[in-house]
Amino acid sequence: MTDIRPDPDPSGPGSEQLREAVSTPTTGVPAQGSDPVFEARGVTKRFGGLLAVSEVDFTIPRGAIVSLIGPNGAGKTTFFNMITGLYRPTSGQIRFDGRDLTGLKPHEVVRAGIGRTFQNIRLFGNMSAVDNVLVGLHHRLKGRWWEAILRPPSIVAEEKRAFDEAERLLAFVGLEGKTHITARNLAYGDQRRLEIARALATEPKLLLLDEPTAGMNPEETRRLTDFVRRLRSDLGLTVLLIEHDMQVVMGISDRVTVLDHGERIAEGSPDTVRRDARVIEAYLGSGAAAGVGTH
Amino acid sequence: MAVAAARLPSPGGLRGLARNETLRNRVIVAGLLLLGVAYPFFYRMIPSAIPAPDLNNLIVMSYYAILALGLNIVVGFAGLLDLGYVAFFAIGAYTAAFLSSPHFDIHLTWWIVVWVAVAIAALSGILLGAPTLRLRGDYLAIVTLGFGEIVPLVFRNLPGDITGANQGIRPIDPPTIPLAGPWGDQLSFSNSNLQLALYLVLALLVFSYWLCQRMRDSRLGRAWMAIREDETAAASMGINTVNTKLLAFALGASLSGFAGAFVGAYQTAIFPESFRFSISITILVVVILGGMGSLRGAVVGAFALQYVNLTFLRWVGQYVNPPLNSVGRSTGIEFLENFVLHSYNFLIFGIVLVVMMVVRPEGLLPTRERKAELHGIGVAAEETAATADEVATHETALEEAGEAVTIEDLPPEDQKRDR
Repeated sequence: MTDIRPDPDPSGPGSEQLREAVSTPTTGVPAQGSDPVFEARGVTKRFGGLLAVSEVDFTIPRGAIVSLIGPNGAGKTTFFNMITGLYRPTSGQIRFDGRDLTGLKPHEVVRAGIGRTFQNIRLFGNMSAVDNVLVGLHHRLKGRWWEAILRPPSIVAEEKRAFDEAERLLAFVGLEGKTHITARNLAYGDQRRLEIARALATEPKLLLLDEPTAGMNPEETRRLTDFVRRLRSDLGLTVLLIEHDMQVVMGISDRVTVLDHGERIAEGSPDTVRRDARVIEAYLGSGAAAGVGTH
Repeated sequence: MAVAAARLPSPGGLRGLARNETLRNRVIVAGLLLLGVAYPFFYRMIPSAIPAPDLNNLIVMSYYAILALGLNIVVGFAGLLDLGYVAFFAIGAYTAAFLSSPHFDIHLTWWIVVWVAVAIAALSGILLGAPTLRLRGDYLAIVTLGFGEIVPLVFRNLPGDITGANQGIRPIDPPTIPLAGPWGDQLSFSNSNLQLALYLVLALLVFSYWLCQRMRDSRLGRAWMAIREDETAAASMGINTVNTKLLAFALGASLSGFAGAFVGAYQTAIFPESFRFSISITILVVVILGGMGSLRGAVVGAFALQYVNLTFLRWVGQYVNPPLNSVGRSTGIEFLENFVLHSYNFLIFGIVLVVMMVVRPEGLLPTRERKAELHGIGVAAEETAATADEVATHETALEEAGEAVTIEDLPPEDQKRDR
């Protein structure tokens, strides 16, 4: 119904790929470095007189876990929203997996292989957990509106497969048995997990997590950090995090990019960034630059 | 939690697709249909002390139910406030009138005309939707409101004899089946044969309900509800929101065209005056009254509202009007002298709506999701895997298996909620 592109994999429903990915872990951490899966060049966003993001260059190596950090108002979420098509960059270019994504609509970006979660959980609150995940599967299913009415065997089978896959995804994020609970009635941590399951259902190659540990206690945070590592090791995903918890950032990131006032002020390994004078200044004020240390 | 899930019969599939329609529901639906089919045979025997609807009233209730099901797609499923729904009703009715009346001297059979009316109404839905669906919330409501006003005005004011202006179009050919018998040489489904017209509209209603149910329990239905819940998140999950909303408008409008084609042929006449704004509002009230997004609610809401409107208020009026009128005559208060209860129907609906919003905001027969939303079964009830519906299913299943259901049989959280 809403499909606008020809299906990239005409041989069968894309669910096969993910099913395999869920059950058979792919080889550990793919090679990194010279193979950026994602590349932003000179990306700028202006809201009237406000320069929210200014000339940011940003690359993500395939298979990496990369963090985007910065003080409040640094432009992190704006940058996310430009990647995912909610905002159109004022200038600059965004490339993903060999495609130019600049100016695509959100649903086209998803179909290109970028999934996301939201800073403030944005589940479909009055729908069940499994229906939330099924919405994530939407673009991988083919049922048209008349098929919804006539319900030919192919669609019945497709819906069954989709349901099974949604349940598998729920189990993968640790929500087994909560299939039919209305999303708004889930505990906070479970809602975060459901959001990730929903994003995984879109079959992303790159997953954007906007402050996934916000509001979590240390134990939940630790579990989520482990889970993000599993996303890479089990599903072979590339992950971009926005995160405030420095322990999380320093613990799991291969690379860290720091934004301040819409500009990229540092990029590198967690250790390099931790010692960077401009970063310390941005976070703690200029006087504190001497107090280099662990967070 | 896992315990609760294991104890409940697992739906094992999407709602409706594999969810067992409970036996109870089927019995109720079959019973109601049987009642509808049998009604023409016994309603004359009902004593006048009971306010029973006549066949014409029942027919109006039924086509309002179809209209409510259609509007429910737009408002209840996709969350788009459409205040001009009557426009599609008018378009359906005029299409039927153009294609089977002496007006243009075209006399296609209604059985074909109805599908043309559906197609044209759906097309109008797309034409209205395409430029306006970028608008959200109140702005969309205002534009649709305008559309609902403009369409009947166009039908009234088009030059020459195109739409028959204020006189409308009459007579419109009724739906007929050329089947000879004691009733004459054909069966006619119009106001000259109320019984058959009732059967036709009930069949249309069942068909519409089935359509809506199928659409709700599909990829498309989920996409509509996702848009209703959070349009931005829906787009970020790969849903093409523009196309999906257009489909809601088109499919919602098509049911309105369906009802319009029936009403034109049933009344064998249409007038621009009969497509007033108040109809849009009445249908919206029905949807809200029944419970937004609930199919059963839309049908029950339509029957309840039109029953009160057409039957109950007049019946009460028989007893209330004469004494008030005579009091008015003796005291010279003109308001009382001319008091006619059913002319205050919209005032009464307004009061009912306000009372409903306070007492039962989720509607008469809400979907389980809205019930949960509005009655704060909050995070504490996280573990209630069983929604009210499923508990009911569970109970029925146990009862059928010959087991006595006790509170202890249910998981603890359900006991708490058991009222």
